[in-house]
Amino acid sequence: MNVTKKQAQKLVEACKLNDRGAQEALYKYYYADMMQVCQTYLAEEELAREAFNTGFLTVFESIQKFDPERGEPGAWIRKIMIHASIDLYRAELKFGNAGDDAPEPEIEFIPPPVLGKLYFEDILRHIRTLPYATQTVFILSVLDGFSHREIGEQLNISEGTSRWHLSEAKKQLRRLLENKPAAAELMERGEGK
Amino acid sequence: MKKTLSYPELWKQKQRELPVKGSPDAEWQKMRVLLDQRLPVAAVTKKPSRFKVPKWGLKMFVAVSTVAAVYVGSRLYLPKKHQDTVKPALLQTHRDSLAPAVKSVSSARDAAGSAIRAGKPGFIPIVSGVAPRLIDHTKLNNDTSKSQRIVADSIRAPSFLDIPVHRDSLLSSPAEAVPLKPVRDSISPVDLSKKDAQKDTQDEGGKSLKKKKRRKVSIFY
Repeated sequence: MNVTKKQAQKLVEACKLNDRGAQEALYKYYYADMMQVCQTYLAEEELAREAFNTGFLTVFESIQKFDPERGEPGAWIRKIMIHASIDLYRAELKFGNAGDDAPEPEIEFIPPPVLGKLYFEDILRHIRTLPYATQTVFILSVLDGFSHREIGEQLNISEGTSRWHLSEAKKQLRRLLENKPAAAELMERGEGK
Repeated sequence: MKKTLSYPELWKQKQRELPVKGSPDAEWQKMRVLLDQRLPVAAVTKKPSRFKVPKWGLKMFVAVSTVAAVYVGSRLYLPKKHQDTVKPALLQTHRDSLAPAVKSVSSARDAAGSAIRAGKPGFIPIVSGVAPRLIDHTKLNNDTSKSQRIVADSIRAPSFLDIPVHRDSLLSSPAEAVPLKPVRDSISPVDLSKKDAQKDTQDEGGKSLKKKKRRKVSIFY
């Protein structure tokens, strides 16, 4: 569905009036993007769909609070989807005792040329092997750009714990990719450049 | 020139490669059921109008309508009030204008009555039961045949037969009494001035009420 940003704003305005047509249009317009977000956080397809519908129900229920001056509707809906996904699997979030003095992890832990040649599904498969708390921190930080303070507020953990989990996630992921011959070859080439 | 993405953007681009599972149409049906339960369409009562009236427009409308109401009210109410004050005054003026005529009628009747009683020559005792009041003389005077007959009966016949007509016998019921036209040949005016007599002869049609009064005076000749 080709809808411009301006049209999306109009759809939001119509959704504030509980217009079913506008709600359907908005739902379908953001379906792909938001479903990808839910699928990233939740491995199971059914859970991802549930999180998606729960998130969109929250969107429609609280759309009166949305202020277009503060940002785009897409970013606002994305945040709601992340919250809905994490809430659905919050019971699995076990952070344990993490040290507060964790080192700042390397930013480009996978060289960009290597990352560009990998399929996201393959990367995600490796991410899924990490503990759920660690992979959640990794996705929140690397894919969605949250700061450690925001992650700490979202997951009810300290910034140090968040930093430690991110560091652990990057280390393990790098190790996993190095163990994979094709990825290792790519990484060697990428690092050599 | 190849556009280079920053590291976070590269990750986001990678995420968009993820194949989407499920059909939006099928998922929307589930969503719709949820919405009907949690946000029914009838729950929204306030629907803004397609044509929004600005606030200044409402203020302008109120101001214009107030001015119009005041204007219309002043046009309708004040003339009525003016009428209420002017009408009695006009009525009084009208009465005052009639008073001399009525008075003259009364005095003429008294004079004629005393003359008849005294037996003065030239006074024939024709007495009408009609009091000097405002009646439609036009209608009565148009009935010429009746009035002429009454004149013949009341004036000529008694004089021809030489039978004196008693005043009391002529005081018939007011309903039968008909104001008569004066017979000027045989009767001289009692109390009219020369000027008034001339006017009376000029305006035979008898348009104004005053003139009709004067004509009525002539009944008592």
